Amino acid sequence: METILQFFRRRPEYRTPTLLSGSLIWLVGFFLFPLAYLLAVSFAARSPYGTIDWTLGLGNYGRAFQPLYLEVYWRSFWMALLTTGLCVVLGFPVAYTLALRVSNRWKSALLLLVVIPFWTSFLIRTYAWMIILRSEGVVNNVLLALHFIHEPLHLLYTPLAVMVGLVYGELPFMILPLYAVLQKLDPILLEAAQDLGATRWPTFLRVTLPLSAPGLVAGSILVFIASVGAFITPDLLGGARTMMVGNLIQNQFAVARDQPFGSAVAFLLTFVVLVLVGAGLRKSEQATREML
Amino acid sequence: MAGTRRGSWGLSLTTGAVYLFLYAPILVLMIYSFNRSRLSARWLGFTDEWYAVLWRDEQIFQSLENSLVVAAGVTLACVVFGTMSALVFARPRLRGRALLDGVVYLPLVIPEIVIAVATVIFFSLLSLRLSLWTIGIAHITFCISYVIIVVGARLAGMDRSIQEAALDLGANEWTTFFRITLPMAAPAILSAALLVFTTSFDDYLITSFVAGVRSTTLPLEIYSRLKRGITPEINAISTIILAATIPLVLVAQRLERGSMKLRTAVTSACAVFLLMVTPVVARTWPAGGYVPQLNIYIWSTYISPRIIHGFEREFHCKVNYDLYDSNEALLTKLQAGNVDYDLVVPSDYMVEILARQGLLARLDKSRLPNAWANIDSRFLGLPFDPHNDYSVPYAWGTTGLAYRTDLVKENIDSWSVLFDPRFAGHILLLDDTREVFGMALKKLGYSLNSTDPDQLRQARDLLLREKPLVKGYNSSNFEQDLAAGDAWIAQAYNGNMTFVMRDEPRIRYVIPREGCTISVDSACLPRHAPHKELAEAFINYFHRPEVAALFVNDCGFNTPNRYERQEIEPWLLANPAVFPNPASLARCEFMRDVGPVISLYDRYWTEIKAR
Repeated sequence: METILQFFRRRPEYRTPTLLSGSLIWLVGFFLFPLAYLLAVSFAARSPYGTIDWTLGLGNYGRAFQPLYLEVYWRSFWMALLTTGLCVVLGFPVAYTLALRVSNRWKSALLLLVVIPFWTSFLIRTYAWMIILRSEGVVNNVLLALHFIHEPLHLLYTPLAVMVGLVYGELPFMILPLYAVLQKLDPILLEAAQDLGATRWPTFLRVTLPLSAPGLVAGSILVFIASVGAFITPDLLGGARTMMVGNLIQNQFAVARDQPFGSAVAFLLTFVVLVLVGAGLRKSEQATREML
Repeated sequence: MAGTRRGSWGLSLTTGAVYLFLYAPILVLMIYSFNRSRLSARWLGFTDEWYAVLWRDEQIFQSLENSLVVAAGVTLACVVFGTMSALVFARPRLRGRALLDGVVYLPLVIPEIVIAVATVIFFSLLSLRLSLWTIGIAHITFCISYVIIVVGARLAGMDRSIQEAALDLGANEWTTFFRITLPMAAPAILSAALLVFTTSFDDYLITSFVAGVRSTTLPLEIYSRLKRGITPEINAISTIILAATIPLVLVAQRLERGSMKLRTAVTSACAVFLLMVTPVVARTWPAGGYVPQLNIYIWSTYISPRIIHGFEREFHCKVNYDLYDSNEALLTKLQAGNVDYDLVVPSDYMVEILARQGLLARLDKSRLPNAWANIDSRFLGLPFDPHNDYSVPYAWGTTGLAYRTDLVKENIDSWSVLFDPRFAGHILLLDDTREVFGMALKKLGYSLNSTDPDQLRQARDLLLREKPLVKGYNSSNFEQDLAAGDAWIAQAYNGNMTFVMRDEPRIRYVIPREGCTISVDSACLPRHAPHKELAEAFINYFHRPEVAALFVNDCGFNTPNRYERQEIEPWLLANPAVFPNPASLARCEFMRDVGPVISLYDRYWTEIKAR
């Protein structure tokens, strides 16, 4: 130990690289290299039996922009956007109640209750939704017993089921960042707005909402990224019928064995996500600055 | 203030509804873990039987152990490397911060599926053997950033003058780090560690791509059982895991609020971990010494525990198996070239493809006397492997139509029902390229091995027109969907139907009059199989007539072995799915390798699925 210390005292310029080495070797070696290789493969072609044929070209990208696949991206984009929207609608009241309405004694307990489902296996929770949504499942049994319906509704293997699964899986990622900003919000500002004659909605729209923008943006980014690339939920709850871009990629690698095409789609997805995140971050920085 | 009051009432109601939404599935799981029914949909009374079943289930405990080992290793590595780097990231001034930040944040913003596919092709490029190690490597990659960010934020918020004071007072850098910096950063480190542990423990997507032989983790096991519809013990284990995570969450939460002493927190986290680990270790502790291992990659419906245990006892070895649901999944794994299976069971046309690509080993025929003596000669020397150099027939079956007589209300004997608008939204097709195209080609009156691009285009257009009628694509547990009434008609592998037809007599299986696939799945050895002799011993063992009969009884599929019919349970002999009438078999066709045209099949299949 003493010798190591001696070495770093003599050569202080080695300190930073040594401390960073572990993580950086890992992130470069097992993350950036694979991404670079993915990019390279996306320009290759597929041999008849599905191995990589290194005849380089732009064919995969040409194919990726065919109307058929554009439809898949469009569907994923809408599903992700809708998921994000629903998460905001459902998550905001919860975050607001927790941050501003609940007494301190209950706050952490209630917050904990939001987090606990997030610690159980994602697969198992998705599967529980399958039980709930089946023709002879919980929802149908309850509705039939109450005589609201006479025929079981077909819920499982529909886009609706996929949406329920996505919102369920991502909701905590919206509530937590929103809670974080709302908690810092000074209630005096709200009182001031009301004293100045603003009613509930104007207060909310002109004061609360702008002030919670950074949390809203952060939550939306998290939810959007996770749901745009979703794979398990469409597979299990959508019955492999509602194809999203995540399924398209998985399909190319595991079933169709067209790795170059799969790589091209994966790379396009990455590119779009990075652009969106970049824009989102700039927006949220702006919002934060305006808030200050 | 009436408005405010009404507003808060609405708020509370929404909040309550959201909490109900969050907990509904969890409650359902807990309740159904005590349900007597094997099919989860119906409630048939209270039982704690599934917990006992779970305790006897070696496969689950093995996967749980794998998950715990990986998660613990990943957490340790991430904490050590991550904290070291966090020390740098916490500095107020850092050259190249933008670049470093980019590298650290990137794994958090790139969709998981992209990381998964990039990692798997990269491992294949490096020829890294897929194992628990590769899972660990992949997990560390996407977890390490959490630690750097969380711990870095904590360190950055710390008062540096305390460390400077320690140094001034003569403590060296080590002492300062261990006595000052580390304790102050400890809550952040611990909560980052818990986050990493659960993320790694719960990961399915990336793990499924980089798992190899003997490295099935709990999420993989759960997914494969969900797909097969064998689930009461999954409900049970979910309930147990949930019960185990609650104390962990409590610890993390109290720690963050600072209302718990660090030592108490660490101790209780360790205690919970030990509580989880002890039963697992007790359950999986090896029975003594090294035993040879046989690693099998096989169809999810072909596992008979009685055969496996019999073989293990007689040959003093351990059999490990992983499961697949499509020939293409098998091909993908073997093509990647970095998994060490000893025995695989591809279907006919896939034997041809694998052999042509040099992925199979030649069999030592002298080691397989039972196979040559007991297999019905009609199943030997088939066109896909004329001299049985690479393959020994293992099981055979047909792909026909299964339907609910009470819901369809008429007799069915033609593929055309799959195109009948009256059944729109109640039709399931297999998630299987060749089978679905085979069906469409047969419907059009062509061979299911067509290589004519024009015929294929017609088949594609037919399937595209049909898609609005299809409820889903499923080749692993379509029988459950039929039993639960979620589907009325399904394109079906015969053997999947066997047990469901026993329990639900309203389900019928037919071979359509246009004809369908007859498939022979064969045991083969991958070219680099490490335990070839043991694998051959297993094939030879399987073809003892009494073992083959066990297979029929346990798996509900027929085998080409000439076992004694009185060894088969009578209800099975009466089941037309397993024992079809020979005349209907005359209409069936073997699937063959279609050569390079397969890329057209794959491409059209993607187009159909994407629509």
